[in-house]
Amino acid sequence: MDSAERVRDFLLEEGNWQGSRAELTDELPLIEQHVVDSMTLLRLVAWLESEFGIVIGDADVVPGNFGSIARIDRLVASKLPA
Amino acid sequence: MSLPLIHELVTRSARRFGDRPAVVDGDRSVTYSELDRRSNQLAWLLAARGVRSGDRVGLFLEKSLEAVVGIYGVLKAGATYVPLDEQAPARRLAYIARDAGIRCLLSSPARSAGVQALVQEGARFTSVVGSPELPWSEVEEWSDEAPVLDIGSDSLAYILYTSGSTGEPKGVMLSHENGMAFVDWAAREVGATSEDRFSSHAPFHFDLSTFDLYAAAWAGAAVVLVPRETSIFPIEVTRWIAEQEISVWYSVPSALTQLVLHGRLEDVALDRLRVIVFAGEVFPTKYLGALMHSVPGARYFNFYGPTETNVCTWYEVPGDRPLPPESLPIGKPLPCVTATVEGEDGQPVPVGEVGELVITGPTVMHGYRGDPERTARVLEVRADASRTYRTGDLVRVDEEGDLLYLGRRDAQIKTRGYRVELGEIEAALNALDVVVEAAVVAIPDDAVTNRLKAFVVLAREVPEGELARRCRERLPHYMIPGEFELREELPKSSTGKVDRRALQI
Repeated sequence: MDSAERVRDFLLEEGNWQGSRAELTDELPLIEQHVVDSMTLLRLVAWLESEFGIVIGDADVVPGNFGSIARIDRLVASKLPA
Repeated sequence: MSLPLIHELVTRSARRFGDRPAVVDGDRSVTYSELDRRSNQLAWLLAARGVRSGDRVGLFLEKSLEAVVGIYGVLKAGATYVPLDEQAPARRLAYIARDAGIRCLLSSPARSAGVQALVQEGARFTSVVGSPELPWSEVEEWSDEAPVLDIGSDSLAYILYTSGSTGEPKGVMLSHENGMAFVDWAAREVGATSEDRFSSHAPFHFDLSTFDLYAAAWAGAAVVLVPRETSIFPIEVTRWIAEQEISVWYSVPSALTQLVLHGRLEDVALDRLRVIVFAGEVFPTKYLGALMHSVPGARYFNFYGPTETNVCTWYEVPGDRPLPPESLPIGKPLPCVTATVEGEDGQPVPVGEVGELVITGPTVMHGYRGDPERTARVLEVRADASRTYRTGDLVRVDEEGDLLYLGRRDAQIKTRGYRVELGEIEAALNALDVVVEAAVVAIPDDAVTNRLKAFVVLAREVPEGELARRCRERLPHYMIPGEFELREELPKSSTGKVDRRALQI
């Protein structure tokens, strides 16, 4: 399964999304749509680190990297060894 | 000297500090004169739409200039505002709307789907400000003269809903006097002036917001709304505090812990931040110490008090000695408050012994909306009209005369500053057809005070994530257990009740 799908799975289980899987698109604004709150963000960061074996620094935890599933996916890709 | 009504703070500040910023919402802001005039206009609009003194008006919109104008507009119409947590499921909010008898709603175009969801769950509104039929722009068509009111300080100003132990939330009814008795003391104690810039971090359905909004209005200071997107990211919050030159911050400890752990406080100079207040849960000393090290110039206050009494005791952290290794005291009562520590027999315990904290004073609520039975269990109104509230918190007085918080008498816990009755989560789980029996325990956690874990006996197998999903339909996000453990059966004590202690290990 590709990484964006795994992130989507995580958000469906741990986030506050009350819609369908199909509606939770790669570009959906996660914060505006209340999918991710401060608690979910903490869990998401911890899960990304363990799931993908990457390190996410405090400076990476910004809206630009977590605004959508696509952005999270890009962050993960940027942290994986080349 | 009697205290003003809450909205009179704005009118007073408009006279003295008319051109100073009152509310800052991103790029937008209003002065005190503008806030005073716009809230007058909204009050006239509401009256024309049938809102009478004592009516309850729902607040269902994002934290914004409009929300603050909305709060003061409702108060100036002589009515009571009921903030609806925009993150709560529609079913819960519809229950609150019916329970509070809300007919008029303040909302926004962004929330129109949310309003539809409330209506689908049975809420009925006669007017929705911020709907296509009644846009916010219509407010400007009304007179900006102050309406004349027939309410007094005992009239309700707001109703705040909190977790209820048997499944439904309880509406805490709070009057103008309730709010003002706290605010008048708090604004003076922190030395608020018109030069201050208060953050507004807490949502408006949380009583911390009464300090942010009303202490700022008392002083003619600006209240700067924390954008929701910013509030989720600790380093954004740190940057925001510096950029906005916040001088007074009030939040739950877990928000401050996030700044300590992930907010890179060492990267910015928060020179203007002179007061940091926290309330709602215990602040672990190691994180408080780190915060005090990062922001050494500020005064630090621990405020304590359930929604039913607003803040009733307080403690200023001494800057000149090490922090106690155990948690901070909750300190001493406000000047207008009397605190007693009572034993099981309802009599005061000998000084220094453990007992239940009982509070008497003008900050004590007027009761739970529509629930005289539950109200009578905790609230006593004396012949002289003074009100006494049994907090259910166990405390004792230390050698310095400060109160120490020791725990709850019952199954109410805090997580991230939110009050949660474990019974409410259990009721939600037990209501599911697939659940035979459920118990929820709190697992202590440094960062958020408690995490929630559910033990569930199922009638049949369900897909992974199904239980959490079903909980999300009924409960706000902070009440969703982070972990579900399936069991064949739950351990029972000799009395046949679920043995929570056995589950906790």
